[in-house]
Amino acid sequence: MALLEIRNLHVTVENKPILNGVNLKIEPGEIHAIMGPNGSGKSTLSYILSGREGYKITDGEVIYNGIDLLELEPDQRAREGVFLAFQYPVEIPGVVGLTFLKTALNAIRVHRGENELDAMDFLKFVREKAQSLEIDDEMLKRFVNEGFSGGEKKRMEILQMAILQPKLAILDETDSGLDIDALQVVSKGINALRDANRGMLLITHYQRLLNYVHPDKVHVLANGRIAKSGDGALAQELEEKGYAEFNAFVE
Amino acid sequence: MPDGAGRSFTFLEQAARDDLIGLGSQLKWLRELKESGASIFKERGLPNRSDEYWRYTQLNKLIEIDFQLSKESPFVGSKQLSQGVSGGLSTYRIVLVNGCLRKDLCSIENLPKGVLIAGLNAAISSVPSRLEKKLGKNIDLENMPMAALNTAFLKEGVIILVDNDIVIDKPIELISITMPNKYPTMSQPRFLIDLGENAKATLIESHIGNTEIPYFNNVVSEVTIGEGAGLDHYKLQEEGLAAVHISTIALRLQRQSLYRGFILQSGGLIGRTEASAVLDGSESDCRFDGVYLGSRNQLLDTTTSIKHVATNCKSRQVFKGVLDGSAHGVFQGKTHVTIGAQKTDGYQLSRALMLSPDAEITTKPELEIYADDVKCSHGATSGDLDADSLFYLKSRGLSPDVARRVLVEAFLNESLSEIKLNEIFEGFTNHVRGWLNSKTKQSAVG
Amino acid sequence: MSNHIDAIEKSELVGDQYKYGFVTDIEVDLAPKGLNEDIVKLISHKKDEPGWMLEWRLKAYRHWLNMKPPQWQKVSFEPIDYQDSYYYAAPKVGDKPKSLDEVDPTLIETYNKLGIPLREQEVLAGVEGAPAVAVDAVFDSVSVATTYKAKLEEVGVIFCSISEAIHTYPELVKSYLGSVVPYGDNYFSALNSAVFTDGSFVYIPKGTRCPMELSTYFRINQENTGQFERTLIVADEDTHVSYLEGCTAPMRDEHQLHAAVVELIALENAEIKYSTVQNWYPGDSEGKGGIYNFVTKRGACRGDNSKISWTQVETGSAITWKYPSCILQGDNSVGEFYSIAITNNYQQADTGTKMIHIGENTKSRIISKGISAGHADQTYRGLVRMQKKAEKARNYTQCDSLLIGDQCGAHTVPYIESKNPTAQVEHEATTSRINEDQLFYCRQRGLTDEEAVSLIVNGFCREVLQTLPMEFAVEAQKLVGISLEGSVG
Repeated sequence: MALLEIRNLHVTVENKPILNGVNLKIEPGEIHAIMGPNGSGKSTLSYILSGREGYKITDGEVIYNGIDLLELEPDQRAREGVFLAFQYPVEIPGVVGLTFLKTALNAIRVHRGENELDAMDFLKFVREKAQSLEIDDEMLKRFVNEGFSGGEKKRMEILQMAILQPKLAILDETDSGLDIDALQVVSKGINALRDANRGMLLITHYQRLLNYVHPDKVHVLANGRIAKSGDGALAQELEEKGYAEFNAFVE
Repeated sequence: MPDGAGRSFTFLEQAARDDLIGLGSQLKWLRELKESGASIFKERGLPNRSDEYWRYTQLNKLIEIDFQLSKESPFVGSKQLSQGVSGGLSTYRIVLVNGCLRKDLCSIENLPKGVLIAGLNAAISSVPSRLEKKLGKNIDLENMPMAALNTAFLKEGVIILVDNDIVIDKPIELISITMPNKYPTMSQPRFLIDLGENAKATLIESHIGNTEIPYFNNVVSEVTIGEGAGLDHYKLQEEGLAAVHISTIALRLQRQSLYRGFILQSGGLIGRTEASAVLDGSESDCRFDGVYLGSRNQLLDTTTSIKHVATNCKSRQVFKGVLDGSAHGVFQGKTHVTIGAQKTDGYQLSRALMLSPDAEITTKPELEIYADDVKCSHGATSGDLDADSLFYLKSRGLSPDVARRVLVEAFLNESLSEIKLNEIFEGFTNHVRGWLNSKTKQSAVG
Repeated sequence: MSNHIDAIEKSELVGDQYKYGFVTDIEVDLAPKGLNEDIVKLISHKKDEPGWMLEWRLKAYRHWLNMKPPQWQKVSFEPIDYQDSYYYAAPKVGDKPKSLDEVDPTLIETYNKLGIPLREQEVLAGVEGAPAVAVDAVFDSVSVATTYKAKLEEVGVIFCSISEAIHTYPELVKSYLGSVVPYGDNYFSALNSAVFTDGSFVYIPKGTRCPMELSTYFRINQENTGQFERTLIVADEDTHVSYLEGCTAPMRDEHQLHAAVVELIALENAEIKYSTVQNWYPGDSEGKGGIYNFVTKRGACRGDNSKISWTQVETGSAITWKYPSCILQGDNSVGEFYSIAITNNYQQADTGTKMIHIGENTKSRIISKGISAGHADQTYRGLVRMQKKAEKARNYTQCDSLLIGDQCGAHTVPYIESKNPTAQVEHEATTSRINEDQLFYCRQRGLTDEEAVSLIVNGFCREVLQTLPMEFAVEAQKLVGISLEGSVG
């Protein structure tokens, strides 16, 4: 059974069509990259999968692990193992990162039938994950994302992913705005979480992340559809030729 | 006529005698409107401390003096007329002297088609049915006793009616001048401004006093801005030293309309401008900015209320005050978002500088909010000039007086720079400089 | 900060309905319903008070008769029938208990049910090695137990019921009672002065740092009773004291009146920290029942370099009307007001503070966080006054309001008056709803709507929560979540 299957997905925002029949199938263990020009609907896809409000699904379905994903509330999806690394992680003043993550992790653990971690065990668990990813966990003692640089926010998203251990991770432009050092840390994190049971969907505008994380499949999203699919070589091709071919297609 | 508290007002008695039975009494609607004003004022009386929006502005002085409506209109020369803030702009001009319209000083020839500018008095005779639909429709007399008083006297004033889609080529200039009189003068002028759909106009209003004896000017402006229309409104309040100036501006904004108001108050013993706007149509945009400059024993009060009724509206209020001598500045600003007025964006800022140990400032910024999807905020500061900036300027060789002056001007400039028309900006800036110059002179003497 | 956060962090985000809504079945000594001079005399007589006290009460009562209830606050309710209430209800426990063991066990049970923070429960239960917190418990109108008295007496700290203080320390009471809140100050302070039945008294002698937190729990139990407690705290020169109060009441269909007066006096170099977690019964989800919480709290920083800090977490009551204030008389004195007010369902709150700057170089800080949900209506009302002599005084005010749902209201009404150009006042206020992006972010990480709201609101309130003593902070944080139940979704 596929981990995720998107069938003929049509989405509008304020009556404007954004996705016009997306089909995509991700098997456990696979990493798929979705590339595309700005405004092609990449971020919309990530929000649809995670259940953000404000989008209207006019046709199609999304089956995740055999269940109808679109029927679930955002938090139910998260508990079922869907994780979104946000393109712009939001700041939550006054809420300590550790409190936030512990609440999230325990909600997911309870859902999985596991016992809740107490404060000590949780801290130990976080420290291990942070060390293995070489991410400084001191940031978790601060308020969620508050005053973080763009790179720090992205690193925190990867650390959260490592802690929450999702089945399906969607990374929305996680590489954007990163310098080369941060890009390496983030890529390393993603590779470390590569797992036979875990699927990943990398949404990116540029090919450079794919130099570090080698996808099983690459898709080009244009005009709200998958315009072309291929292997890693397709990303290379896009890097050289740009999206002109697909922009023309849009016209 | 005694008020609710049993106090007697000779001037109101006069109103009952001369006015209610006077002009327009043959028009039932007008008589009823004036009577409703009279009866509300009679019941409420002069506002006092127990009226929430008059806590800091006491009008007891009005009782002590036997004010009378002016019967004669003294000579006014070009010198007086040039005291306005139009800064040499070519304008359509209307002039009131001691509360009475002076046709000889007006210049309203060649108005664009679809624009009516006239004395209220004349308009009541010529277009009564147009006025019936507009006069007093926009104003909450029950809660505005001074506007009720003005309504009881409804007679003198100016109406400006602009038809749909008319963009007036020149600003309209409204000058109210008070000249010395044999007795304490009272004026109760009424302004009615009505812009049709997509109309555009600029109104420059100046209140000038040329006398140091007490007088009482109680102005009411009713302003309606139609769908897609826009009004730029500039007001200078520079009444005489002993004057009491009370002004009530009632605004109604329709869909996608725009109002930009700028008020400078520096005149009068008591000067109060109360502006209240109702944002009735969605996507309308209302802006009040202003400056008040107080010295001697003046009391300058700016009271605003913006009521968001429709969705997606925006309001901005930025007021700055400078207080010298034993002047008392009052700023009360309210942003009111009624239930259902979602996506409101309301902002307000009040800043006051106190230049003298006897100055006083009272600020009451207020938010009253009944809709959740809103972004509303206000800020208020008061205090002296920033010591670090002063020191910096002095260290560059500026004398303390000059340094202070530079900083005060900079403080006010932030507000003044919101003025779009260059000539008006100059007019107000010159006025501010004149005020600051007189301060410097005073302190040099003292 | 980190210890504090750990404690907060360890607390769980659990919710349940108002859990203090039980009634304790205890025999009570009840005066007849209604209010008149005889009742005032009866109260004074029951408490075996000296003549000067009765005189003061009667003066207050006569003054009250000529007063009208305040109208200016933004709350609405049916006029209160002051003749339809009991003004004296005391648990029948015979002679005053000498130790906790002698206290009626049902009463102890009550305090356990109250969910008083762990260490207080231990203290009440007399657990050995329990952290030192002295507790005074006021049940309906009467103080029933004061713990740790002996230990406090060793350092000279007086902590007892006000009734006891009137007998034992009449000179102290005489010189300070009514000196900050005169009986004629307002309608409810006059009423309280006439009929107050008990409350706490604290005196910290010169040069003493109170060795433990002092704490009072207030509980209204009896039907149709008003509660009128009176608290007086005097911190003499060079002292420090931290005082906590908690309040609960049973669920009843009719409204009950709580009209307390709290007076704080800080002399030179004294510091008083006063924290309140107010969780009186708020009424049901239809707005039936609940406490009218009309309270006058005021502190006077009389001495130079003194400091009074108020922290309040107001989640209960059908109507709250209170403005814990500071009169900053001494030079360099400091006043603080930290507030969280949560109104849900049909609750109404009109609360804030007054900071009166009289002395030179006085400083005040106001942080108010208001959350309104359901059909509730909430107003922050505050006064900052810089008097003529308040050279170089400073005030900073930040008022933030959150709205949850489109049927509630949140209002901000600050009055700022300055008569001194060297005084600086800075005020900021914002009103908005919970940020949708924050909510979605939390839910994407697996938090339910309610958990997400509770977490975000707690973050919004953190600056205030941090000023509470640790156990109170944990308790308060839970309350935030509970109070907002049913407001989302």
